[in-house]
Amino acid sequence: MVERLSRSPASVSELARPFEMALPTVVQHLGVLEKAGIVTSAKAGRVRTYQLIPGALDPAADWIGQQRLPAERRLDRLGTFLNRPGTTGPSTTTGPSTTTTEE
Amino acid sequence: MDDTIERSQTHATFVIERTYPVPVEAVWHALSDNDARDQWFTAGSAFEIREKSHEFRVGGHGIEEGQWHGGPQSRFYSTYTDIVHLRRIVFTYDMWADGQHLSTSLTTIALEPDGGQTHLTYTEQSVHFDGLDSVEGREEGTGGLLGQLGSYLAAAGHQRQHS
Repeated sequence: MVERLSRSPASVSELARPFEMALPTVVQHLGVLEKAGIVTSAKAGRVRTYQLIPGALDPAADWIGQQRLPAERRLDRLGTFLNRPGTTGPSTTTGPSTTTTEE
Repeated sequence: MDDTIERSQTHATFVIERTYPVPVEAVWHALSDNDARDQWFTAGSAFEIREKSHEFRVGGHGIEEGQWHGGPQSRFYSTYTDIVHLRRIVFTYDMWADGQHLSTSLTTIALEPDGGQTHLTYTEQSVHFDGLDSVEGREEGTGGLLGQLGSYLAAAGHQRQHS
């Protein structure tokens, strides 16, 4: 539903169409999104239209970004390490020693 | 445990892709050899290490415990569950901060030779506990919902961000 709303505002029945859900269930889901400050709704006649609140998804993007960051930094450090002259790794015929070495 | 903690579980999935301009053997060496790994795995000097070990074999553990300067005590505990030479490394890991369990993660590192280069795909699936590393979620009480959105955004976004 959020993906659909990212394209344009939509009515409840438009939002319900791709899902095999009863309208009241869809309204309930939209209610959760509205309470969370992700969507807002307006009623014109008998049709209620929902739209995304601009920037509302940023906290989620920030959060997932925070989870990614340590791994991204680590892989960047790996890249820096691999790019250093003289660290192109061991002879490839025998392979590196990967046996157990407890510190 | 503290009864005042509000319990919650937030799931996240993300994929990071990198291409390194070295043969797959060199990447494998950096991932698996203790001396090589020491040179990139740990963050800089802002972290004072108290316990550290790494055993690269299925069932082996990687442990790193220490104190961030002026920050919390952190513990990383991993277990290798699958290793295919030059192709794949899978491990689970747990994180604690000041004795509080932050998360459990499942990480898959897949390597693919590409000429003299190596394409690395890092996929992490995780559950984060009690909003301890989700400030927004804690403050707004929408951690679970935002986490689901986050998983969705990560799944939809990684192709866009890293292709």
